[in-house]
Amino acid sequence: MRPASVGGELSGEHEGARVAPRYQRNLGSLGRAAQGRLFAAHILVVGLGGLGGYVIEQLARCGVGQITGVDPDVFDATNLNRQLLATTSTLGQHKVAAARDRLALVNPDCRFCGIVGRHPEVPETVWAAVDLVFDCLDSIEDRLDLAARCTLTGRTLIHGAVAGWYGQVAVVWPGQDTVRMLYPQSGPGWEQDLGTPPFTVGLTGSLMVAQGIKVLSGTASPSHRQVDFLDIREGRWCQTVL
Amino acid sequence: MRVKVKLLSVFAAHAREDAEGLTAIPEGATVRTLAESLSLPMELVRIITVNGRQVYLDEPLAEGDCIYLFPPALGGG
Repeated sequence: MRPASVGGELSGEHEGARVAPRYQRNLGSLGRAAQGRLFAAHILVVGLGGLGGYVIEQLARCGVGQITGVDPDVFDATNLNRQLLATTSTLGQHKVAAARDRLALVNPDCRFCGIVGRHPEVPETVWAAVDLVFDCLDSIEDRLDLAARCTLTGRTLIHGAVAGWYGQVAVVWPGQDTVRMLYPQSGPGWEQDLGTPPFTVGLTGSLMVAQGIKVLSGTASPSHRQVDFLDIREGRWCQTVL
Repeated sequence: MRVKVKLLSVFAAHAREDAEGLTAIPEGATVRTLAESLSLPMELVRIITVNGRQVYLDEPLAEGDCIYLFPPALGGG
């Protein structure tokens, strides 16, 4: 990470430094040192649909200094029930463009770089610069490929996926094969049958961000292949080690 | 013999009420036998762990095994 100077007034060891009012309500839970790390962080978010929309929104509000967002698609009317960036104004617009406009409104201190395309098009210079990667994709092949690239580059991956009332989140530390264990076989997802309600997306995306913030702030330690499963219908949150 | 079953995600909603917890299965039963006896949609039985180790459908089960069955979510929202 670069020095903690982007987007806020924290600097050096962060002791006694002034914090912009927009971040003051973060400090009680995150702490000043973690807030400084967030200012300095560069995050790669792959997929700017439902999960990706919530992820970049919260990362920007937390004070992350720079986000690179990747998505090839445009918004259509079926996205409106759950995707934060999908509005009647952004229909037909590239998701990357909507993300840029949204973050400019939410937190102009957060620098956003958008790539209209898929993650293999992310330049090596970006891979070299990012501190953390979010997997907000929707196909097994793409998820496995992104996880492999994270392993290759030594980056930690925050995995998230949803279907109906159910969500799953995992912190994939470099070298772990959690994503491959989650998808031992190819095949269609079952969210086509269950649909994708907005509350599942919001909750799962929020948990992804919380896990990511813990990784960035140094309060999460590498664990075994733990996956959090959310069952909103039954009100259960189950942590399993694969 | 008896094994302990834990169903996650959509399986918990679809299986019969007594599917979770201690379940009696015949000697020599495999994960496939167990999943079929619980009336789970077999095409979705993709992740199986037995005593914390990932296995596949033909894994033989033993007395006291703890089995997790769940389908991974895939959607990006």
